[in-house]
Amino acid sequence: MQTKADSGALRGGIALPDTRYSPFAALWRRLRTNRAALVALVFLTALILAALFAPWLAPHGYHEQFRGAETRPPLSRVSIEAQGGAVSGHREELFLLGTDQNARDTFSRLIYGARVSVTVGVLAALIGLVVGVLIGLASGFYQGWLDALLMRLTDTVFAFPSVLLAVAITAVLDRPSLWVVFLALGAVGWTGLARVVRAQVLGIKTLDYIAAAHALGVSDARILWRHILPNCLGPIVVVVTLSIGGNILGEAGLSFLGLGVQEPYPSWGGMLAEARENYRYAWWLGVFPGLAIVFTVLAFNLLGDGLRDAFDVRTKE
Amino acid sequence: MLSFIARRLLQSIPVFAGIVLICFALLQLSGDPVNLLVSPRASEMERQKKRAQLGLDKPWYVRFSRYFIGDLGKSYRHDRPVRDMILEGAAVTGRLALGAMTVAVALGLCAGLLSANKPRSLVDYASAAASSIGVSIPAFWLAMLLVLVFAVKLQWLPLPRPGIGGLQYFVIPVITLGLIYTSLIARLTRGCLLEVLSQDYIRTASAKGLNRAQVLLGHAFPNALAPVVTVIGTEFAGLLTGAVLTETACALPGLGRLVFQAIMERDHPVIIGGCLFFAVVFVSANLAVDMLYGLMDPRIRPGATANAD
Repeated sequence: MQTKADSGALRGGIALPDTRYSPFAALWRRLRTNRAALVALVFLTALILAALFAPWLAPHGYHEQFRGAETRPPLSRVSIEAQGGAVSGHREELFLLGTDQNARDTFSRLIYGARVSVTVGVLAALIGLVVGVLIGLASGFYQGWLDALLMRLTDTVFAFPSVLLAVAITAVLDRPSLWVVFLALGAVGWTGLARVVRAQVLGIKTLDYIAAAHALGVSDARILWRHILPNCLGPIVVVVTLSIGGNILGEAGLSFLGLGVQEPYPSWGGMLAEARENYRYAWWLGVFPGLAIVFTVLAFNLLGDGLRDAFDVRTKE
Repeated sequence: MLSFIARRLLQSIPVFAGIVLICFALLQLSGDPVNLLVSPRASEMERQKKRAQLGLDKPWYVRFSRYFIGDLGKSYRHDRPVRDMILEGAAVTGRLALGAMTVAVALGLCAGLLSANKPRSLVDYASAAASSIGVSIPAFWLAMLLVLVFAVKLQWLPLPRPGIGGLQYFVIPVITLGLIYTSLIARLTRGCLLEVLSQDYIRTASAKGLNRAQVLLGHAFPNALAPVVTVIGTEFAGLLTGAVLTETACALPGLGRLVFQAIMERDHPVIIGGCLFFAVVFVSANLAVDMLYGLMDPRIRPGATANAD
């Protein structure tokens, strides 16, 4: 009896414009027409694969040093003395994007750096997702003093620049690490989502089918989970996708200040921090890691914009 | 209006108290600052003396309540009042933020107006592409690129160096931060303008014979401005974060540098004072936005309902 009522309310609540397709198929059909979002999707898939298979794709190791090939410009061919072993002599190495002051291959370090950016971007967004959804749901559904308290908390956290929080956490943990970046970005990254979810809940909870669920004696938790949350899914997916780009920018900034992943492991922001002294005469050290950041963040933003358009069918028509 | 301001100011007190409490808790976890300030071989007597000298022998609530009478204390490291250090840094960061905001508002509103005037035109696409890149670019990297082009290659501007120099040292940081916020404002202005332009009273204005410029600037623009002003206000925290990175990339001795260094040196009073200052700026910016909002849109003017009743 109750499950019957549940599924009926659910179907009524989603109000799909076209019932011939499942929600995801309908979403994909709309997203497919957005060329920028598709390009972004392809780029991000390639990037994630590159990050996963970095040891196989990178021509050299991230900390492999080629003595005698320090700070070479892109496309340099350098004759390297073969080290150790019975074989002596020289072999030629190609450095696609040049080498840094420690004679390491920039291109390989960029590929390994993608691991840090993608991991931090996605995991920090997931932390933000859990915290933001919980706070937004509670705030919007119960309102009253709980809402006031949670929204003041949201204001306070929003006022706190994430860089300063990260620096403070570093001071607490006594040494910089990737955990600092997760904690700092996650701890401040949920405010936007909490506000969006709260606004959605405020709108949805006045609808008739929620009143019907209440009248049938459905518990608050079940109403939130089965009837309200699914209808907030669109805005949540959009905000989370867009926040990944923001997190990657945040990670780059923190690494630039020396607070992220530590040497010799590469991160794009860390590579720029290392280049801070010598990019003035070795431009490639300052340019390529920055381009990697911009392309990746841009791709997440374009995908987020595309998803927003795809979800927002009702406001467009 | 006055009661509205008073209520908002009262509401902001818990936010300030919360920030000081968070800072206190974090710093308490980070260990005893005395350990870093005296030599490791110091006797217990010396440590107690140092502790008393810094006021750390008092219970936490006494130290906490000092902040409510506006006493920010003294730096552990530099033997100067925290207030002076913060005001010094704020002068630099303030100049940076103000300059950047001026650039961003001027360029952003113009770009937004041009885009919305002819949607799907070349100007619109160019502006959209530039804004998409602008919101995806790290501030410190843009600063590095500008240094590379204008200071290294073209040599129009001096290379950044530590210590306050003349205004020419502000050019690159101001343009960097300004451009990043330009993209945000341009996007938003375009969106809000297009929404307003689709409304009935715009058609009426065109129908009674006003030209395009009069409709756009006189009728649509003032109504599209309110959300733009809100975002400018709420992005203030982001602007300050961007300022920290830009200051680092351009070697400017601003507030961001000050707090960053204080945390590295475990200079607790400077950390708390700095965070409090950020919070005050943020809350004031929000209050200013709310008041401007009322001035721009009579429908939501605070106190308007009281008059109507």
